[in-house]
Order: sequence, then C-alpha cells, then structure tokens
Amino acid sequence: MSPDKSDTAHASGMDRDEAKTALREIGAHQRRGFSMSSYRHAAPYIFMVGVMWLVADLTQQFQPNNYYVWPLGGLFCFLCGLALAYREGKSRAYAASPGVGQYIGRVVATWIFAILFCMGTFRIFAPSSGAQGGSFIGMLLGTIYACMGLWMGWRILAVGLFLAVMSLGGYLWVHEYYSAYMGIVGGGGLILSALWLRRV
Amino acid sequence: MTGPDEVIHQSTRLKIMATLRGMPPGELVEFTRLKAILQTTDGNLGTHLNTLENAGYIEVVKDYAGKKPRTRVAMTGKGRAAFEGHVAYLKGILES
Repeated sequence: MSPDKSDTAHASGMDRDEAKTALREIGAHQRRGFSMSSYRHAAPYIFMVGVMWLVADLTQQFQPNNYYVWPLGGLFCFLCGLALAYREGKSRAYAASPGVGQYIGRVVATWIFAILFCMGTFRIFAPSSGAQGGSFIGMLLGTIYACMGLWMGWRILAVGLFLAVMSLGGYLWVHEYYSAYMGIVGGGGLILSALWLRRV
Repeated sequence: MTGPDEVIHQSTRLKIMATLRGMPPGELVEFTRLKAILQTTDGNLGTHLNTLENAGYIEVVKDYAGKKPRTRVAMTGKGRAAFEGHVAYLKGILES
C-alpha cells in the first residue's frame, strides 16, 4: 500500500506489526528533526570560529610577532556569540523556551568556563610553543564537538573528529607553515563544515 | 488505552509530526527543509500540512526572509498532546 493511499485505512484496525513499523518511523523522524535543529543552531557558531581561525592563523603566519591577533579573534568570537545568542533568543520568544537573557547568559558562561579551563590547563601543562597551545585547543574543541555529535547527530561528530585529527596532525607533521595550515585547513574546514551543516 | 488519532495516523502526517516533535517546542522549520527530510513533493506536503493545520496540530507562518517569501511550520501544544496520545496508543498495541 503506498503511503498516501493509507488515508483510507483506519488507525483502529492496526496490528502489532503495523504499530511497530509506525513507532520505528516515529523514532527515525524524531531523531532527524532533532539533528536538523541541532545542526541549524550549531552552524553559525562553527562558521564564526572558522572565520576567526582563518584570519588569525594566516595573520600569525605572516606576522609572527603580532600578539594582538588572538585576543582580538577571541573578542570577535565573543561578540559574535552574543549577537547570535540575542538573535536566537528573540526568534524563539514565541515558544515556552529560554528567552534572550538566558541565551546570552549561556554564551557568557561558556566563554568563562572555556577561558578558565584553558588557563588552568596551561598552568599545569605549560605549552612550550604556539603550535602546542594551538593544537591542544583545536583538539579540545574537536573532542567537544565530537562528544556533542554523539547526541546531536553524525555531522557534528564528523566535524569534531576532523578538527581533532587535523589539529593533532598539524602539530606532529606540519612545522614551517603550521599557522597557515591551521588557518586554511582548520579554519577553512570549519567554514565549509558550517555550510554543510545548514544543508539538510 | 487512549484511542488512535485518525489525522496523525496517515503515514506522511505521522512523519511530519514526528519530525516536528524532535525539535524544541515551538521551533519553526522551513517548508523546504521539511520537504527534504520527508522526500516528498511540494503539493503532497502542502496538502498534509493543510490537514494538520485545520486540525489545530500545527501552525503555519508565512513571512519573508529578506525579499524571499518563506513558509515555516511548528507543532502546537494541541498537536503535541495529540501526537503523544497517538504514540501511547501505538505502544499500547505492542504491550497488549
């Protein structure tokens, strides 16, 4: 029976097999709906981080003594994150969901946790080079995305694995053009990943 | 055991409601994204969305994204309750 002809079949006549099939379809589509929503919400943040990495790493490659690029990059991400959180909070104001204040609060809290974690980690395991610090943060971010992807959907898992592997690979095998590599492969990869996440 | 929901029971409408149920409450999803997930045609999807909207299970919002017309859909509270009831009915069949 084709799916659309089932309009004439009444639900009250369902047997166990039909119920089981229906529940399986429900589960599959619920998961797809959840994943699609997760991808759509994650994509702008991943795009923002990708742009920052691309610009900051390329700047560092050609201006190694530019000590402002990463603090400015971090500030860019923080402000963009606030703007995205504001937009997201406003767009969901029609529903029983967190409002603008909560969204912005979560973005600020995320940054505080991330900065404190990195500061604490680098205090314990002080990096001896920029590449060490950069690859550690790349692997950390990639691992976080990968773990999130286990719950949200395989695309975010794939983005996380890509980020973690390319960060480690860069530290191990790319030396002379490490910053350019991280910018183009890492930052560029994140930008493309964000565009991919927005496609269903 | 709750009874079946004849509106939601239909295969495409069941998939529509399940997809919307997987999203945060009240979140709007574009018509084009829904069509891609369900792999159906504009006409088919539009017909089923009309049926669900007439039943009060979804809300359809038509506006503009810039200059481009946009149609978005979200599940209503009534739709959520009806969907949960229908799922409970299906589970009841398996448990009986």
